[in-house]
Parts: sequence; structure tokens; C-alpha cells
Amino acid sequence: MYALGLAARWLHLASSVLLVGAAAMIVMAGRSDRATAQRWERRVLASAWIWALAALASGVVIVGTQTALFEGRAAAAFEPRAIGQMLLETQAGRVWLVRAGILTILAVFLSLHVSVERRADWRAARGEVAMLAVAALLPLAASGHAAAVEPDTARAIASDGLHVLAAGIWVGGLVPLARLLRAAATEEGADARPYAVLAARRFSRTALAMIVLLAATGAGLAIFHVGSVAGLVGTSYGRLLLGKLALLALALAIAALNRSVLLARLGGDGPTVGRPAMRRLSGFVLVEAALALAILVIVAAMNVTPPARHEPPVWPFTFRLSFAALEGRAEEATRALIGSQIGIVGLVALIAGLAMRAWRLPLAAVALASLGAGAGLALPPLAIDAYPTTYLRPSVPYQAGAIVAGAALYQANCAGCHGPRGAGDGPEGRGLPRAPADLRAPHTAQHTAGDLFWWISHGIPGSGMPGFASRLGEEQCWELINYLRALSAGYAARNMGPTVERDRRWLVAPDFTFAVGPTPPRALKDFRGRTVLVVLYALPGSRARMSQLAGREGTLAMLGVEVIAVPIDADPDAIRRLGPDPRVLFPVVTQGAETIVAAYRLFAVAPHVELLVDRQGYVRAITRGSGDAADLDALVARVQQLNAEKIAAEAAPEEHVH
Amino acid sequence: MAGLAALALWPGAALAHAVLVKSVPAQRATLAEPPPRVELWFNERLEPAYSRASVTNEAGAQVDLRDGAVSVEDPRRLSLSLPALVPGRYTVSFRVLSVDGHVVESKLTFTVKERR
Repeated sequence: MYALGLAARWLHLASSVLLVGAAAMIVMAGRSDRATAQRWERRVLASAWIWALAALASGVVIVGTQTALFEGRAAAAFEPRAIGQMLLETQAGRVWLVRAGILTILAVFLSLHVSVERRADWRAARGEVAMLAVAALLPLAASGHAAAVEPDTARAIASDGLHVLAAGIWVGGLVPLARLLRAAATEEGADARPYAVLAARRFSRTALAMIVLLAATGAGLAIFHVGSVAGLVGTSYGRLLLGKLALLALALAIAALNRSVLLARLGGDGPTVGRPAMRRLSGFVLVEAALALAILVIVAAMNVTPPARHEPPVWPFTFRLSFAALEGRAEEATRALIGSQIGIVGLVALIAGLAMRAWRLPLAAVALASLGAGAGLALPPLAIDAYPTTYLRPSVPYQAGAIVAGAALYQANCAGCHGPRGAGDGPEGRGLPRAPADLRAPHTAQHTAGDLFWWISHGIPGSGMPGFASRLGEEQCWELINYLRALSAGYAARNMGPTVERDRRWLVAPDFTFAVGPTPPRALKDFRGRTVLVVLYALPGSRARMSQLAGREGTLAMLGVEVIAVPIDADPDAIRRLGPDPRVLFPVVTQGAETIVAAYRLFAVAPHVELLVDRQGYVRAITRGSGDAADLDALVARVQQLNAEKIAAEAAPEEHVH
Repeated sequence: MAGLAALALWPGAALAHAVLVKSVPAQRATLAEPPPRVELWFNERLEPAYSRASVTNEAGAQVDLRDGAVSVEDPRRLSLSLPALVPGRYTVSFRVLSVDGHVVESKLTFTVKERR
């Protein structure tokens, strides 16, 4: 069934593309009075009719397999009710209905064989075929992966549409071109030879433009759907794309040969140069077309494969390259710098070689040598050990609840060697081949969450660190990693004070959910875009400060500050205990407080703690105190400083992989 | 059987990675009050005709009010109502179809605590 679906998709893509190419090729070649040219045109139109029917038939099969997929049962492919629902109530179905309508009109029009005696009639008839073929192809973009890209939906669909259109004109035009060249290369086809030469030149120019368009839109779509090197080499979608690029490189090499060598000879003298070149070009063009149709097999597979962005990548190498490897290693940094300079020399030589024909060979040798030497010098210092899970994204978000669960797992499984506070000083760690790591150290820049996942699951050979895959489930591993992340961040946060440092965002505020009385639960993340003051307080010590905050709530609200008060003792009766005067208008957490307190205590321990979280979700200032009334204007000044900052368009903190 | 058929049809499609961006209650949340409804937000627009969710208790019995549907005003939100739940662990299972024709199946859990 999978094979059937894939075959139908390929046939559908190939026939839709061939249809556009045939129509475009006729328009490009233009009208001719020569018998051979007219015969060729009739044959191309006849095959276009067959491709229109093939596109319709394969489309019907795709609708059936899609219906089965959507319903989750194979039998649904044959149920009229299910098919009707798929056609009318899903975007893929509606797009297909539109395309099927256009294809039907096109097939009927092609079967009419309208008269094209007059030049104007010819233009109208062939133009209509081309327009209908393009109109049937373009909406494909609105039912594929591009339709689901957020938030740039329109741009993704437009790129995808241009991509298939360019592919149609290039790939689809190759087959009719090969036919024309072969017909014109024969003895009896001599009358159409000038026409064929002209057509080949026009096609070549257009195809070159289409390939540039393909590359540009393809690069954009790769960013939308793949987005990272790990996605490219570590997911099925990415690997399909690599295979597609490899075949494309081969097809382009043949295209370049055709264009630079054979096309120039076409105009040569009839029997000796022009005709053999024409015959050979016809053969090479067919090879190019065959490669392009093979690429469409991969495209069909990509259509039914989830885009790399949505898949967990499996990193295939034992190393990765990162500038973080140079941190604190001056000698290696110098080496990398020198290597990169040599590499740049190589690039300059390469460009110069392309520009200066006479010096091409020596310059190419220089380019190759310096690029190789540069890479050999610069890349090894950048290498960091990597594992299959290195680029895995945590399946458990960075939330207070996960941190607290991870802390319990840590005490049960890790504290023995790594110490109760992560300093690497546990009693069982003494005498191990390698001293247990100090988990508070700021080494996170060199290690991804996925690295930690690998070490926790599989251990570190030769160090004494065992693997815990048999004892901890995947989710528990991620909880533990969330705790380690908070532990290391908290250790660094001990130096963060009440002053806001301009544009220094590094301490991510773990998300938490809370509820006030019977209201529906809310999350810290919901306040993104506003400044939040998280207040961990304890009565009676914090009474004075809480009254102060409650009394000036209006001022804070005007500045866009949300206060979330968390009682350290997690008293469910906290609101009543704060009393009615002054009235507390900001949320006082009555459910979930113990979790928030346990997680945020990793960042600051004091009888009364205030954490200022900026609009992007980073902790920017921490005030540790006893709960006495303090200068509220200082808080106002800090908030104004945060409000004056421009919000950089960087990833939301929970997506950071460290 | 149905799941197997779907798998056989498009391997990979049914295994697409979770695209749930947010839920109320949150994944693995522990709540003191039973939630009146479950809301799921996705990163892609959903096809209402083929997007379903249900809530089951520890015994596997469906407990929601069977009104799970994609929101009309926000096609990325799927919500369903709940009766007053007794304390326990609940599983929200969902199977959604995004507009690019991919089926995503996944689940999340939350716990309603005993009243203190």
C-alpha cells in the first residue's frame, strides 16, 4: 500500500511536470510551417493529453490512499462517504478538486484538436494549454508541507509553487526537446533543423533561469523544512534531500556539458558537425530527463515523509564542529584562525580561476591545495565529541515540575558520586578512574542536552560513569537533565544581583503552572511579552514588602509588570493570611507553590526573594532580602530599563539546547 | 488493526514528532482542582474533520464529555470539556491531521490530587 501510494505520487508529479514542460516547450519553440516541426508539435500535444489523463488517474489513487491515512483504516479508501469527507472537508481534498477540474478541462481541450491555421489562433490555443497546465500544477504547493509552515505560510507556499513551476519548465521540457532534436537530425527532418536549433537555444536560456530559480526557492524551502545540519544528515527527510541534491548535481553536470559543448556545435555545417551534435545532444538530453524523473521519485518520498524539523535527528558522526571548542584554548584558536585564512586564500584562487580562463589550471591547483590545507588545519581544533542523540531536543520542557522530579532522581541515582549538590564530591566517587564531573561548572556551552542524554543513558566508558538506560526511562532522563541545567544555571546565578545588566540574557526562567483559588491554571509562559516579578515570600517577615507591592500595584501595572507572589510555605490559605489591607490584586499562588519554590530555590535562597523576568522569559535581576520594605523606585527604574531594551528576535528560551 | 493499516500505508507519517506546543492542563501537571476542560494548542493548523482528542482515566475508560473539536476561531486549538473528575491520573490522547496531510498521534497525562 505504501509502495502504491508512492508510485501514484511519483506518476502524478511526473505527469504534471511533463504536462507543463510540453506546453511550455511548444510556446518557446514557436509556430512553424515546416512539416517535421508540425508533426513534432502534434506528437507533443498527443503525449500531453496522455499526461493529463495520467495525472488525473494517479490523483484518484492518491485521494484513496490519503483517505485511508486520514481515517486510519485501509478500507476507507473505497468508501464513498469517507472519500467525500476527505475531498470536501480537508485542504488537501479541496486543492485536489480544483486541480482535477483544471486537468479535466485541459484534457477535453487537448482532445478537441482546434484549428490553428491562423497565427492568432495558434497563439491562443497553445497559450491556453500552457496556462491550464501551469494552473493545474501550482496549487500542489497549497496541499504539501509548505501549507503547514508557520508563521510564513504564504511565503512558503509561494516558494513551493515557484519551485514546482521551475521544475516543470526545465524537466518537463527536456523530453519534447530530445524528440525534436532527434527528428531534425534525420535525413528527412532536415527542413526543421533551423527550427530545432532555435528551439534548443531558447530552451537552454530559459532552463538556466529556471535552475537558478529552483536553487533559490529550494534553499528557502530547505530552511523552512530542514533548518539545521543535524536535520539534514540525521533524519529521513534530510537524507532524502541529500540524495536529491546528489542526483541533481549529476543532472546539472550533464546540462552544463550539453550547454557548453554540444549546443554551440548545433549551428555547424549540416552532415559533418551539426547533425551528429544534434543526435548526440538528443541522447544526452534524454539522460538528463531520466535523471530528473529519478529525482521526482525522491520528491514523492519527501512528500510523504515528515519534514526534518519535526523529527528527532540521529547524528551519524562521532564528532561535531563548534566554535565553543576553542573557548579557553588559545593555541587551538590560533591554529583555527590561520587555517581559516589559508582557506580564504583558496576561495579567492577558486574565484580567480573561474574568471581567468588562461590561468584556470594552476589556479585550480592552488585553490584545491589551500582549501585542503586550511580545512586540515582549522577543522580539527573545532571538533567536539558527538553522539547519536547530540541534537535530540528534550521531550520534557524546562519546567519547575520537571526540575523537581529530576532533583529527586538525582538524589537517588547520582548524588552518591557527584555529591548532594553536584560538586562532584560524593563519597562513592572517590577512587573512580576519573573524578566525577562537577555538574555546576559552566561547561554547558560545549555539551548539548542530547550529549547529557547519551552519557546518562549509556555511561562514559573508562571513567566509572555507568549507563542508566535500564533504570531510568526516557522521560526521567530528560527530567534529570532539566535539573542539571537548573543546577548549573543556579550556580552561575549566585552572582546575579538586583542590577539589570543591559542586553545580557542568559538565565532562563523555568516555566511553571499555578492556580489562584478555583481559577483555571496559568503558566509563566502565558505572560511572555510582559515583565514579571516573581516574589517568593514568607510571612510574617515579608509583610512590609508585600504591603508595599500591593499598595503600588497600580504603578507596576502601568509599567506592564505582572507580580506573581509565591508563599514559600505553600500555605493554601495564603491569600487570607495576607489580609484585606492593602488589597492584593496580583495573583498569590495557592496551588503549585511548593514546586515553584523548590525549583527557584536553586537560583536564590533567602527569606524573601524577588526575581525580575523580562518580556522574553529571562531572569534579569535577583533581589535577596528579609522582606522589609525597600525602595520601590529602584524596582521601577529596573523595569523601565528593561522596557527600554529592544526585544531581539531570538528563539524563545525553552528552545535553547544547553 | 486500524493503526497497523495506517502504519503500513505511510511509515513515518504516523510517527511524526509531537507538534503540540502547549496544553492546559500542562503535560504531567498535578492539579488540586479538577480542570473543567482540556485545551491543546498545536504549531500547525488542524483539519477539523480528522482531529480528535479524548481523556481516559487509569482504568482506560473515556471520561470526557465527547465534545472534542477544533476551535472555529483558532484552527490550531483543540478543546474538550470534562465533568467533575475524581482524584487520579488521566491521559489525554489525541490524533490530529495537520493541513499538510500528516497525522500526529500522541498523548499527555495530568493528575488530580486528593483534596487536602
